[in-house]
Amino acid sequence: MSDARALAELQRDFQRHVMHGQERIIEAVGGSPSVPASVRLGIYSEAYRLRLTDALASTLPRLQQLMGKEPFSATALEYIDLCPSSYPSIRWFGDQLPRLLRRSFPEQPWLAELATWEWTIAAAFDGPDAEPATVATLAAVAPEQWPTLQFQFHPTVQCLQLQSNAPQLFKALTEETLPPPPVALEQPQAWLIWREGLKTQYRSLEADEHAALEVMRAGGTFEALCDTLCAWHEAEAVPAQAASMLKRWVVDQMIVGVS
Amino acid sequence: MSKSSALPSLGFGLGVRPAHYEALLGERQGSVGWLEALTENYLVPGGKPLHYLERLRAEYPIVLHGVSLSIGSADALNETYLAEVKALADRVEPAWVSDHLCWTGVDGVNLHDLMPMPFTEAALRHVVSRIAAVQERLGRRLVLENVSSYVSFTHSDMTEWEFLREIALRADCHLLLDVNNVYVSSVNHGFDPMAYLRGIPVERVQQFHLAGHRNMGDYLIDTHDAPVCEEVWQLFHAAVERFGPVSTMIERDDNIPEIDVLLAELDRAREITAAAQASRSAA
Repeated sequence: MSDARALAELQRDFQRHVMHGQERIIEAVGGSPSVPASVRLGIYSEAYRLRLTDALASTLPRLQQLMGKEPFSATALEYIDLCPSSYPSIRWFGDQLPRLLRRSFPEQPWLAELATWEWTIAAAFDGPDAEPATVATLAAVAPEQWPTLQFQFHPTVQCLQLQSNAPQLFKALTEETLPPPPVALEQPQAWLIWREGLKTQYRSLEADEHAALEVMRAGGTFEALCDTLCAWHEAEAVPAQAASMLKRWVVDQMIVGVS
Repeated sequence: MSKSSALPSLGFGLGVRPAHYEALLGERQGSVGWLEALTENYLVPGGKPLHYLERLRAEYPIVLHGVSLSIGSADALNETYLAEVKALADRVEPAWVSDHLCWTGVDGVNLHDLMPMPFTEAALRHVVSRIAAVQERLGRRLVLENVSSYVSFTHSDMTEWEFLREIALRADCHLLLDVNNVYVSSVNHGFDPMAYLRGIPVERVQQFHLAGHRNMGDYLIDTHDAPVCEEVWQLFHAAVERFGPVSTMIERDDNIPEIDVLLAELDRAREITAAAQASRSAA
């Protein structure tokens, strides 16, 4: 066997022991009477699961609080076996956890949604930086340019459509107040998550603003924004509605450019 | 890159943790000579982590310390990761970039742990060729740290310190000597930690780590979650006697205390360094 293949085989055997408990590596490992090879190898297997469980708990602390430490750990262990990490940074381990939660707890949709929520909040926390536009930027736009004007949103802006009260659970658990009972909603509720400067922000969205954001984030013009709002507002009120919505987005540092 | 001795000491530093950002930029500014930042924590697009790293960089020399280079893995080098580390290093301009002499996974998996190498000539050649490639990609000399280990491989045909010495000399890289890790492995494998220190070439040691571990009775586990113990302080004294005043820091990864607790430990490192240097010049 070539040197490189021999090293690869050794590492594969070691890794199979850490991940799946396969014992072939034991033959290659030295032990002592007080600490046999199996105990030594067990240190790595145990540390592997502990470290990844801790990583999930650190990214999704409110989910761990809501589920309770032991049920959370059981789910984490299942996830570790199903979706081993391939990320250089442990920060990204856990991206598929909402899928497992949806499958394992179909009667408790708030669990998967709380995981999605915390993951999205974390993504806004260390998402890309961008210089926000100001009200002065908008004021400088010539009136004839307005109909075709497009807006670039801050890269951390995310909309989520949720079927549970996961954000309220998140808020209460973060503020260490008694969380409301978890519930599934009859109608989905849209939420907005973004980062304002260094501060991660979120708020619920009315249906008109949610539709407006979807259109505008897809590259819609100011005219398209007005057309969208016509579904909710009288035609003569629409320009003012559009302008005030836009102003709020700018003040909240959600817009980084106009073109 | 020309062959050269380690860079001059930056003095006494800390591994920077988010809980201490404000203190290091405020009431404890200047309390340490330099900071070590965990590379992977800053391989993010933006926001607070990079904001604080840049503010800290304006006040302190910074070194980048990675955990996912996997220099000993049989997998190909992760070029995406290397490009990200290079971009971060270009942005931060660290005094140096370090990682561990270990592997972290194979077949694309990252176990997020520092797995032990077999100490063989074949493994040595493998690691040396990869260090050359990494130094080329990063455009800078790499600093590699000895890890704590719990297993040894029966087909190893040299000691860990022989392996480490050969790596440093053949790959022309520098070493980060984690004094706690030397001690932990010496207990776990029953070797003399002084023999380890004597086996490491003096001019290759760029940095010291000091940390705590957990005593499990029959063996020690490297947890980096506790104060430095007496045995490790003694070994540190011996290390300074041998290697001289090398950039020294306390590395705490878990159970992060108030910064003043770590600064007090750092003061102890200062005292021991002064005492060891005095006995070195007397000798």
